[in-house]
Amino acid sequence: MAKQIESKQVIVDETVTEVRVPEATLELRTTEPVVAHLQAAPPPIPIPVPIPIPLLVGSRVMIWKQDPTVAALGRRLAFLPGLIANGPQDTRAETSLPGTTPVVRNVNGDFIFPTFSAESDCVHTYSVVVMALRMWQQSLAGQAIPWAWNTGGNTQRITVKPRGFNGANAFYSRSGRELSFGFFTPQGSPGQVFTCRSLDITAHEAGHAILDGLRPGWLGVGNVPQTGGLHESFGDLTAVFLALAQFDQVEAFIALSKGNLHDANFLAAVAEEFGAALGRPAGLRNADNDLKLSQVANQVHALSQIFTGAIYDILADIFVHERIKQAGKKDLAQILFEVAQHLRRLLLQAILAAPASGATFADVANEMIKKSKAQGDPLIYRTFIKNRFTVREVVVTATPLAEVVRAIGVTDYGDSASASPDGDDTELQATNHISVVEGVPQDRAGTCGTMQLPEYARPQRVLSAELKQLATGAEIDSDEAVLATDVKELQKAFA
Amino acid sequence: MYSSQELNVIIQIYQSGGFAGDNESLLGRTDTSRLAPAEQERVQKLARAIEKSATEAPMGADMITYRIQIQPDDGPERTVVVEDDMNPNNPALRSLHELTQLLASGT
Repeated sequence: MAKQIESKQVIVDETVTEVRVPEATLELRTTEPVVAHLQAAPPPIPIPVPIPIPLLVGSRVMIWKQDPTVAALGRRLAFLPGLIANGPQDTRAETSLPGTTPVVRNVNGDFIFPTFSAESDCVHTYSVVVMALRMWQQSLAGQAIPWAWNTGGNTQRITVKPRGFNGANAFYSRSGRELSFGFFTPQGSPGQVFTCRSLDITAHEAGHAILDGLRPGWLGVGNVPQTGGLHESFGDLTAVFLALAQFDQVEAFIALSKGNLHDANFLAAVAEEFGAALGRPAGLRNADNDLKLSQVANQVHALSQIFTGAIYDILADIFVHERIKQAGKKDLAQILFEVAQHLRRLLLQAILAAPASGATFADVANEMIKKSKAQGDPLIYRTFIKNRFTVREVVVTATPLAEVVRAIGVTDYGDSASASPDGDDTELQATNHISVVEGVPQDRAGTCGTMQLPEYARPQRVLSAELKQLATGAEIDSDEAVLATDVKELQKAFA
Repeated sequence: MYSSQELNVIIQIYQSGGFAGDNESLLGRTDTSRLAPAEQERVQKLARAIEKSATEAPMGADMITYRIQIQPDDGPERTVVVEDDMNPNNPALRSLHELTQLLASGT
């Protein structure tokens, strides 16, 4: 190649790699043009056609972050990963409102409807139920939680009825395999209250259904009253933890309360709009309460507040500890988000380890301590658990109550090794109370108020199948047919 | 079990429970001895239907609970509990709603 271009006065020595180019003198420019064929460029490396990253399939929905009366949070957009079919429905839940359902997605696959419309109520209620179920499943490393009737391969969904009946109530029915939400007009009010628009109420009822799937022996009225209290508490705690599983709610909470969980706040107040309709301005129930076992009898809703209150206090205690420990390293909202996630998982593990029927608050408290120790939590976590359940009179310890109260008052929240007066190994004894006595009936009235889941794994597969079908011009499967493919996977999980 | 021989009974219906855990409140009361024979028969028929069909309570949480107290003038008091699962095919519930409406109308 070098010889061919010698006449062009471009010298390329084949023995060296350096290319020498003549100096651009006036003489050179007036004699003959320079054709600087230095060296043929190597053929370009072909750029591969990029493989697109897997698309995250899902729908956008509008949900009430608390309920219509909590204006600071209002109604916001949320994203639900996974294929949500018209209904809305998926493999675990379907929505029923005669005359309205199935609610149809828009071209983007989203369910966005005007505030207060029947369609909007369907979407909100369905979404909160699915979010609550997924939240607890995440605490089980993505393991699918069956409904109580999902045994022997049964995969029947739960039916969500957003406007199920005219009345000031909402309930879970295992017999009817449904969650039903009422609507009513409060006395002296011009407008109706739709219980389905409350994240707290919807999450609470979904919580009953979720716990019934995990611990079916806890629902019957033949259990001791505290078991009924655990069921009600799990409902309220589902609402509290679901709020704490949403970054925007956690951030809003930190801003509004200045990071003080014991400040009056929307997080602890359960069912604000419903409570206001009944003349309770701080919500129907308050997770941040000071009730003790001696102040209640066998009413399950009253009893539930003691367990809920203890867990809320433990949440606040651990948050203060982690806030001190991680000061300057993390945002407060992130710390609270992570603490809630940790405590939620610990609670669920304890519930699963508690007796299959007749479980008491002390059973769950003891399992929380065991699980906490086994997973290597700081000692102070167990101190918080012991102290809070002792002060609530749920358990009795060798240390007199007054001393436990005094110990709480002088606890160094930053000291991970802070121990309770009783040490770390003592099993806590349940307080002798009417609510733990076998044979005492539950009073259900009261004076107080993963990605390994089929629904996560399926969308990409479904999308690929649809793309193939599009390429061949074949007809796309219906939503029902697409969801049906997941049913087989659930059948295996629930066998 | 309700006897068709009972002529006079006092029936009281109480409501409680639900998501709010409401206290028990009296929903309606009637004393059949003060009713006209046709009304008396209708009330007793509905009460019998409730007692007969309220055999198995639906499993669930937060349902409204109705307690029907039946006090015959010549026998021991009986109590029937009905949980409201809003199931229109629940015969006990159907009879109860009919009876409640009857009592609300002044019977």
